[in-house]
Amino acid sequence: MSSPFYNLSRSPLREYGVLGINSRNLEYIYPGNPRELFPQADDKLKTKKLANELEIPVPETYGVIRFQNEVKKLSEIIEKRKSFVVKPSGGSGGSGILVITEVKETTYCKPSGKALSLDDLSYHVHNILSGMFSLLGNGDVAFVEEAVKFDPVFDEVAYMGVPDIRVIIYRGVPAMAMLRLPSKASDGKANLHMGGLGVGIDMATGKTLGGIQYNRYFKQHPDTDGDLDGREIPHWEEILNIAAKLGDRTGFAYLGVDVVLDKHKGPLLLEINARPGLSIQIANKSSLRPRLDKIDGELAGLKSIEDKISFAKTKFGQ
Amino acid sequence: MKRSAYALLMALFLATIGIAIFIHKLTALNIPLLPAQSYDTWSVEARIVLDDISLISDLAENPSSVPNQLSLYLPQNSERYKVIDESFEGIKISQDMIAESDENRTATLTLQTEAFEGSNPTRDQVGRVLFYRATVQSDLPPSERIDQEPSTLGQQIVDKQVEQAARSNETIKSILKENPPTRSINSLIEEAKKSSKDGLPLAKAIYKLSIQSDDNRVRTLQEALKLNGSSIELAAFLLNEAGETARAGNGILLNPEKAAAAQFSQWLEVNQDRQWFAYDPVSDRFGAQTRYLTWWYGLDGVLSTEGTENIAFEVTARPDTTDGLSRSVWHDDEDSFFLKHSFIGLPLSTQRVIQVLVMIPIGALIVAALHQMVGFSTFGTFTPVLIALSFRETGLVTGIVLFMLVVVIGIAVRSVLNQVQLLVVPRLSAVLTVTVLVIGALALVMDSLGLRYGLSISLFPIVILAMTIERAAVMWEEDGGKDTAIATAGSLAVAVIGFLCISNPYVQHLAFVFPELLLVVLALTILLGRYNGYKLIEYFRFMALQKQLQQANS
Repeated sequence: MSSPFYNLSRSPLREYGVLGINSRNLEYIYPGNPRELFPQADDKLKTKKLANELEIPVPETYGVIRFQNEVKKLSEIIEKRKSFVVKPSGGSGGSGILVITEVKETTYCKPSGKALSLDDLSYHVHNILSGMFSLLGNGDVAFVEEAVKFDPVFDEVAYMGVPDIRVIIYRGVPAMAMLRLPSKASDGKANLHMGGLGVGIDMATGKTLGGIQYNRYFKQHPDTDGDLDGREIPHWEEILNIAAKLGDRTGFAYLGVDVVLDKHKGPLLLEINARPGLSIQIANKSSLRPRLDKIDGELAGLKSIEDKISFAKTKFGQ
Repeated sequence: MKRSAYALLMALFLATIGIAIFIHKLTALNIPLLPAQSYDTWSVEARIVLDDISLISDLAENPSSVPNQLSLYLPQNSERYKVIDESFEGIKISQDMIAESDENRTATLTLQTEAFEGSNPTRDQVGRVLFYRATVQSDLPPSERIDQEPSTLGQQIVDKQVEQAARSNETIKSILKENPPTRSINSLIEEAKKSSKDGLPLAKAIYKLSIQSDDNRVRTLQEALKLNGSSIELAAFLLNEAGETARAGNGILLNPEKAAAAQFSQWLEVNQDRQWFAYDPVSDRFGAQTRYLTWWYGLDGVLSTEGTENIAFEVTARPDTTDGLSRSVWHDDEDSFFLKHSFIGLPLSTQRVIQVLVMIPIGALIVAALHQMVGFSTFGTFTPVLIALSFRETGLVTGIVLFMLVVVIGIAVRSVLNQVQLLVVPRLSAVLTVTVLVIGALALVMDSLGLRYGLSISLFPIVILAMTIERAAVMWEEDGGKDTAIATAGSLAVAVIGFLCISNPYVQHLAFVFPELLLVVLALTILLGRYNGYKLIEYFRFMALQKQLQQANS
């Protein structure tokens, strides 16, 4: 390391190889993730297209609204749907996502039970289109997709919302994973900075380890009291497969893959993230840099996707 | 890492150039490293724009509006200030064109120049700019100085447009001959004489009557004598009518705290035993005039011309912290490349802008450092720099209070607007409008409370403020009040740190006189761009993880 600042900070964090945000950007994202590929990750509709090409299952899209004068199409799109999700295509960090889990005659209920009218929904779509949730504040596209009927295995630990599984892929090798659970604080969303829970996952077995909320450790879910550790993630093999495929077939060297488990359809790809967060290290009680260094060291011997997955399972189990 | 090495090389290269020029200027050219401490010398500059287009409604109808001759009062020596050097730029002038009388120094400029040989002479003259530059030295020790402008004193005049006819001694005399408002004059003088018979006490009494602008007699006289509301001129006139010798002085206050262009202020002087005493309304005493730089005495304007009224006149003053360097640069005495092409040679009003501009890179460096090394959460990346710049105008405490007030009111209004569900861009426009209204209302409230920040908050970057309000409101909805409060505090903290740095006189002096040091700032910024260490907040974020890792390892 010849970085001019490398010796400035000698700390236990450095010693254990905890990856900080500056290091992540300078050493992994800038050199590894080409700028021109970012739209594939930032634009959820583009991600869906990519997933279709790679034959990776995704939630069904009900409709796309691109222009303000198309907003009236919304009532057609959601007609007869019992549940759905409205998303901005360019939203970041879970902002702008509106989940409707129950439709009564003229009202639409959020997971928290709060009822919205069609007007409220249209207003939300207008806001999305004018770019309120997009990274750059430019115009955006809204789309409506199926609300995943999530696998009941998580019923005890998911507080009103859709849990998902985040896998970090480095050069096609799954490096670390965590289960993200919605909580009261996060309003049914699974994003950690909004107060969702992060639960570490043993890469070898797909069993959960303990969890965190706001960087503090929890053994039980603070809202449901369900145990967070020792739960087996169903379809673990398939999840790793989806993640490894995305890492292998896209130009991203360092990628976060978000997968959700549907009761009937199994794992579905939700989105990919070219700048995945670092709290996954806290949830797993393990630091990323040693794992990434191991991958760098032995990548030459890993040819197929299967090689990479079994490498991850043997080396990164806990 | 290759890239870090390149960045290091680039930074070293830039820093070397910057420091080399810096050291050259310091050693070979003797430019002072530190600003002169006690604002003893001032650079004063008057900018005269002939035929200022902004003042003419129709140029075509008024083609020959360039004057041939122009007389201009020049600043004079007083108890406190000495004019140690002066020069004109844009016109040649010889010493005998400056006439000195008992009271005033007048320069007579003849504007017939080569430009008139062209086919369309007047066009060439349009917008022509003359500069009068003077270096003024203060002879009083700091302890005896008065640098505060009395808020009750007279009023300030901005000589944008020269009004020749209305305000001269001649006019007043002719008005008095034709239709003297004797009743008001006598009534006022009699009332003043009730408390004191003559001399300085009488002057004081008359001054106090003259500032009663709602008094009917005062109003009548103001209108009859066309004094434009100047109570100082009225007091001087009344005193002369009462048999005393009095005059109105015009000058500017040289105040290092004040960044705005200087304005003329007036004061009253009374002659007693062949000596002039200036009245100080703050201490309510008479004495030598030690507050202002005296420019001229009398009731007329600073400029008089034949044939035109379209002349703009502006005075700018800056404490000369360069130890006389400005003087030599203005005089072209220096033949060094770096001095000839330094900011010091620019017109003072341009220098004022540059002085602010050179602070921006420093603010940006601070923002970058606080972002990458500490991890402050702010609204927008460079919003805090702009807030910091606006603090320069308002002062720190007032600035923070105003910022909080405007943002809180703005968020409240925005939440009301949200009830009717407006589209994003019109809503942003509405928030902008409300921001302007809030600032306007605050200015009015503060003015009526007698606080003097009304003008400066209008310079608050309003659009930035509106965007901040919008971002804060969205954040409030999305992430809750806690995150919003953190980002608000973060923005303010960065702005305050930035302000403390850019308002430091040493930093200002260095950046302005040695702009090559900005290359060093650039070098540091580039290095920061390759900083791969932890942010300060990450030590806290990963604290629990660190404990776990330590347990696992032991």
